[in-house]
Amino acid sequence: MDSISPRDASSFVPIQDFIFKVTSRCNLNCAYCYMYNKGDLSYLQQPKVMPVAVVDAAIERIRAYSSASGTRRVSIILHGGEPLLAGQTFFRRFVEKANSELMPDVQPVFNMQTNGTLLDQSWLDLLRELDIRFGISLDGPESINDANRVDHRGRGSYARVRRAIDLVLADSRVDDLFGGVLSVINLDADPLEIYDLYRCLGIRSADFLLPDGNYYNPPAGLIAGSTDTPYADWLIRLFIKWFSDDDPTLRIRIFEDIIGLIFGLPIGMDDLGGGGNGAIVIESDGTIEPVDFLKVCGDRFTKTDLNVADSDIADAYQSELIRISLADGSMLCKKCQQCPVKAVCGGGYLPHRYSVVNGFDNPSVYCHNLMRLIIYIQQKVVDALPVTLRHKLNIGPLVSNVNRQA
Amino acid sequence: VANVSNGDSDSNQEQQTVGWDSGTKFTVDLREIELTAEERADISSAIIDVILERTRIEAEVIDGSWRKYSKYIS
Repeated sequence: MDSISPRDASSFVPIQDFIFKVTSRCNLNCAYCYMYNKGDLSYLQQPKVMPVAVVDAAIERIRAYSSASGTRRVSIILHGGEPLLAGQTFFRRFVEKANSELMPDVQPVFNMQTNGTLLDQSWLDLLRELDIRFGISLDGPESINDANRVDHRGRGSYARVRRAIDLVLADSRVDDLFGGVLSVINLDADPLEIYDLYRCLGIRSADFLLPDGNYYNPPAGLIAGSTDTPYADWLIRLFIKWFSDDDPTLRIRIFEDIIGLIFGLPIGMDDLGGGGNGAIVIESDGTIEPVDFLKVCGDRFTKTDLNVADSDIADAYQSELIRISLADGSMLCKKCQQCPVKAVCGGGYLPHRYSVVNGFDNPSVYCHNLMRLIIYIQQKVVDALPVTLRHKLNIGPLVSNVNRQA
Repeated sequence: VANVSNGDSDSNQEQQTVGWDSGTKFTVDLREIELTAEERADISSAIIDVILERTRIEAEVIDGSWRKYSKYIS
């Protein structure tokens, strides 16, 4: 197989997603947090809240980069830590500054992920006014959510998050802003219990993330190299329920992405599918970094010597790690390149491929899980197609030694 | 640290042997195979139908491949 160097592969990946670490602390202390609890301590040297000077410099760099590259639309993701800790004055100024500097030539789209604990009516009013789309992190019912999502005193966050979700769902003005809930899979939880809760609450979109880990720091319940598929089994239980209900008023992103990729459609998330993605991080001190989930690979792993104070956005391509992260779907190990499922899994999430010995030159630590899940879903989707259409598309199930009856 | 050799791996991870159901494809590109309205109507799964429609519209709007940062949902 021909090799693709990080430079070649990323040279055509435009940067369009700017993840602003507007805070570098969180009021929660989730056990699985890839920012603060997976070995990276660099946040301790970061400003707790992004200074105004960093905001202004970053926006000016984005304006210049967009102008030079012909980019007409950028996604600005307000992220943390917990971004709401930055306060409403910060948010208002940030958005006003970005709009005034970028528009009309570049359309900024504002997104935010919050843990929801601080979200109240005044925040909803502001998010509506500033047109900021947002998602809320929740792992499921109280006992499941609070197993991991606790504050620094060990107190569960469910009650506070649930209040926020109830408030959001009762406010029709933010219907188009609320993207749904983001959940991290807990193997001890019953996925159907979570599904029932989300249906009951009227949540319209959810995603279930695999806990971050890799070969030297494996995710909970997974032994690196093992052929056990506990995460696939968990997700398949959820998929069976969701697919058989056949009610698209609850979107489940991971399943939609897999089905879309089976049909060759190019839209998806950075944890599935091939090709590049255009995301970089602006840390709270202005450092330009690759995507933050690579922090699970080690302390200071994502650090670069690039800063918006004196570096252009295009300088990001100088960093090998940023080039790799931009081209993650194209940078596959030999085994993945030969795998018939690669068009869907894309080699899996970049941090999940990491080992100390081989770097990213491995299949995902979730390889067996991804393969089993994807093969299962493909089979069910093919089965659901009319026979004539199956023949026209020439699509059929894949026989695999990891595919078992669910 | 960021070692990627793209194909030079001699990974010690267990190799998986995957057998194909020969003669059929695992994925298809619906951007290249246009479905008729009748064929779309024959898809009885509301979920599949909605995904196809939604993803096509998004693809047209975005005009190309787009993989988004997965640590947020919107």
